[in-house]
Amino acid sequence: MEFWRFSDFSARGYIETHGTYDAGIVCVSIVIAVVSAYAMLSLAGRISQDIDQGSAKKLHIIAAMIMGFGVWSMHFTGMHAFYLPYSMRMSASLTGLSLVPSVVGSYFALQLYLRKELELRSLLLGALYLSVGIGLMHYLGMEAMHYEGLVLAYDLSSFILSLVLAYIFALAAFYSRSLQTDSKTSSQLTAALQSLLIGVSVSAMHYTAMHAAHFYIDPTVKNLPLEEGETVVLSWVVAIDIALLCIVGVVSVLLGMRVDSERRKAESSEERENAVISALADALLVLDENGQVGTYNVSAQRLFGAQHSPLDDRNIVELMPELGSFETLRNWDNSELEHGANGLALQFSASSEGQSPQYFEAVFSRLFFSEGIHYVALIRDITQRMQMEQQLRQAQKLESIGQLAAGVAHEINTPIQYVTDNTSFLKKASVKLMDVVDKYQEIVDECCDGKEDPKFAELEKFLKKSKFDFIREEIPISLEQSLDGLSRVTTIVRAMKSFSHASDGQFAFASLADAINSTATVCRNEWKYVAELNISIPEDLPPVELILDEFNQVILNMIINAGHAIEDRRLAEKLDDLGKIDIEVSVDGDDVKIELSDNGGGIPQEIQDKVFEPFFTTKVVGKGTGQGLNIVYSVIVEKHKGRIGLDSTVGEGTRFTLCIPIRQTKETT
Amino acid sequence: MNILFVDDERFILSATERNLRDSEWDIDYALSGPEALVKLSEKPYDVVITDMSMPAMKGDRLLQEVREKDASITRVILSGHADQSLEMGDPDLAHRWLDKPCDPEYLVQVLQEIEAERKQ
Repeated sequence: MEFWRFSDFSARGYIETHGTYDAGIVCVSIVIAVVSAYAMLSLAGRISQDIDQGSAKKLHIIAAMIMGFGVWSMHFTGMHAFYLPYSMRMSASLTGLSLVPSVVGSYFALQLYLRKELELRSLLLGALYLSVGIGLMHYLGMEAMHYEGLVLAYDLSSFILSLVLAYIFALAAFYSRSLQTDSKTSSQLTAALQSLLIGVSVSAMHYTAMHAAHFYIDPTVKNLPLEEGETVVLSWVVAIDIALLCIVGVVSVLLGMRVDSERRKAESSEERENAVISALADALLVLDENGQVGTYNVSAQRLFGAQHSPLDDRNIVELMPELGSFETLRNWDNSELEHGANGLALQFSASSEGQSPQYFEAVFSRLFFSEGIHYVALIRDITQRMQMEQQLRQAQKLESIGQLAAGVAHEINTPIQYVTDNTSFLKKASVKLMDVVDKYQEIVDECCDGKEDPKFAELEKFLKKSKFDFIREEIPISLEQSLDGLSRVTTIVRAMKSFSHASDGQFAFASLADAINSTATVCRNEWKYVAELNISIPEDLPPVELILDEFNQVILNMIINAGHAIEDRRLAEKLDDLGKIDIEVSVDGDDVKIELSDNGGGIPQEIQDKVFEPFFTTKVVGKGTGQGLNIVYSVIVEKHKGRIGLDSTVGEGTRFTLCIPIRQTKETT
Repeated sequence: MNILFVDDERFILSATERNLRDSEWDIDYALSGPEALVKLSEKPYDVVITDMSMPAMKGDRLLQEVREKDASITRVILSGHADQSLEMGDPDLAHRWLDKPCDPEYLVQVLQEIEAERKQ
């Protein structure tokens, strides 16, 4: 049985009548289709950005409605472009109903379109939903129109072609979606292409379907009513078109503003983050799961990059051999590295020939991304911190040594006091004792004149046996030497007391002579086997404002250094003679000048400007920490506002000149 | 001249006594601050020489007591403790400060000076 719309009415004596098209309105209809497709796709783009589920759902429905309305509006605009000079009625219910398939079809098509991965099945199905929605809308819309006395019939092949065309163009639109990459510019372009394709899908369907439509005049109807009320239909179509365009316009403007401001925000925040990363004083490396460098900042380039060679794709183990192998990071939980609060930490030092070593701390953290693990290495220069720590440790060590020394000195002083007292008593007493013995001798000599007296002979024998002459001679000498030894112990203990004096960082006027002499005494063991030490200080030197213990430390470091320099030279040149260390103090204007010279090996010109740097040392491990002259610099220049001069010739010796103000504070008059 | 020597170390007292035996001064010895105060109340003294760090009563406390009792007594410190300035919170505490260990001849010399000063 033949479906009535596909019947051949001409065979039944019906006369076919042909309508005409208004080209302008046809164009408008196509534009409407394209624009509404563009609006839908823009909304779809917005939905695919991460917004919350609720508003995504709302936007999805709005997009489907805009597209549905667009198809619907396109259809009626297209119908308006078509002109038949006969009276036409429109069924409101069918007109309204025809909106449903286009909205529903768009909704489901969009649902598939929004999927991240657009596999073939959803691609085919999505295009189908859209084209069926368009087709159903069209043919329902055709049913809503009724020309008095006219019959509508379709040409089957064109009918099918209209649906096929709709499907093909929809498919093309979906396909170009599947090609879309993430980059922003191409997404704009593909969105335009897709809306064009969807618009063409709608329009092609419509106009092919119109081509399939044939209107026949019923021969039985007399007085065919001619066109009337067309203006009413026209104004409705125009109103709907304008409303749709307004909605689309408003939606896309709002959306565009929102997208723009969000992109700007994202861009500026990305820009800011990049600026922050590159401005970081710490070196930052982002490593992939195999330790290859991906992102890195300027500081990292400076730290690792030799001669501007880029760090891209270099391996972390190559840059930081201290790691050993990458397993140290990969095997995170069992890593040998120190597990800190922020991740794994590694301290390492870098030094090149003739340079002060630098110390670094690397902290590794792990980031888990969908594409794999990334490691972030943050590398910080901790040379200064190490320096401070070492100085602090040294200061603490000295402080506790000082406390101990002061205690020991006090303890020693008590016995020294009475040993000295008793020894000097013995010295005086022994003189008197010898006088007593002399007196006895004299009396014995007088009484026992006869040498034959056996008692006298016994006495003589006894005196000889006990080596009395020797004792008599040696007692005063031994006591004298003991007293000398005691006075030396006293000097040392006093020097220890003076050297270990705790200043707590406070300036006080002190005797430079006492300070230098006691320091030289305390460290006598450091120099007495290699050098003679001569100290020359003018008697009338005024007291100098010093942080005494720190100043003592300076003199100590310099004497020890001079001793080492002489020792090295003596070893190298196989010298037997003792070297010389001279300390000469003089007043120079408002300053006091301390010149300390040695005839050691000297400092080569090229490292003279480095000797005051922290950790710089030429001494073997265990003998020097590279701290001594750094402390000298910090105490003399930074704390005492003084100056240091260095004058050294290899093979001849070195002279350090320290100038410090006698007064730290200007006297107020 | 009457002298009172205060030190908690017995050997120091006896060694000093040995050395000063043939002097013309009348010297007494006390092993602690309280003992010294008892002796001071029994007999007038011209000079008090004391150690600083002692148990029970420290030298500075003793000298404060002495000063309150009779400011004309010459007060001398003989101390082995590290630093004068730190303990000299009271600059009027003592007339003389001697460092331990102190050469016995120097001690005698100082006492002679004090005697001369007191005679004036």
